[in-house]
Amino acid sequence: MAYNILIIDDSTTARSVISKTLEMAGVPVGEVYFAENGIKALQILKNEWVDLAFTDINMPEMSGMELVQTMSEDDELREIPIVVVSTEGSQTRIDELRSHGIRAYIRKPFTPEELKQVVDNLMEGEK
Amino acid sequence: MDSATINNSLLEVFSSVLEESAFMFTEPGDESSLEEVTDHYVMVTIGFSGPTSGKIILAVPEEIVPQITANMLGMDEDDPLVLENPHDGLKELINVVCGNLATQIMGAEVVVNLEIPETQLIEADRLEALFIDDQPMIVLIDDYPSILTARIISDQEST
Repeated sequence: MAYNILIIDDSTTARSVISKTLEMAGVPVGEVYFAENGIKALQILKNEWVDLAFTDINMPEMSGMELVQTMSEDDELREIPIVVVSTEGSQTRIDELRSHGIRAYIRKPFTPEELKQVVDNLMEGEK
Repeated sequence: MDSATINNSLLEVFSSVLEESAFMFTEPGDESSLEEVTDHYVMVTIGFSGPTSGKIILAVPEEIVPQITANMLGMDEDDPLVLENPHDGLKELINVVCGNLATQIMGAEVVVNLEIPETQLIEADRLEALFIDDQPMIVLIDDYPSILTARIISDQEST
């Protein structure tokens, strides 16, 4: 089964790196959607089926933290597994994100193996 | 925490992230290596605030900026994605460096807020003036002389 994936980051480079790394890691990917902030992500989520979302924290207009909170308050969107991919290493912030329902956290820079491990663990649990 | 300690950590984190993300290597440089290398530098800055607050500043010769972005993307320099956003890789690089540095110098228990990175093109002869209040490190990135520094604005840990 191929997964439809949404990648949210204000950096074109970061979005492309995540997308390419998923490909390199052998993750079965269907459609890949890109958003540069939380607002754009919510617009995509209204119209497209998404199996898994990767989001940065630090973005203009709507941050990853705000997006995670918004999704956690929505009956449909809260079911979509969210992986935060960020440079920040604060355990306090990660704990806060987990309390809003994120399923995993990956620190930049990351390897294809780390990314695949996270996706495998998450999607195995979804089956 | 003094600037020298922070700059040592910065150089260590920067070299590691550059190698891992863009497959490029650093070597120590000196002021003589800055002479007449390029007409323009791209300067990228990112602010951070927490127990220690400040900015990280990196200035690299304009010529290698597309190469950094292309390497991070695993693409050629003439790929449309690189041509459309040649500075984007530099912003992402400094973002990753700043996040990792913040954890290294302040620990994993504190929350540090990072600002959105910004770039600007500056003429080479204005470079030294921009760093007059800092003690910049000169590093060679694949033989291109670049300037890297952390400017500390406030430090609650030392008060």
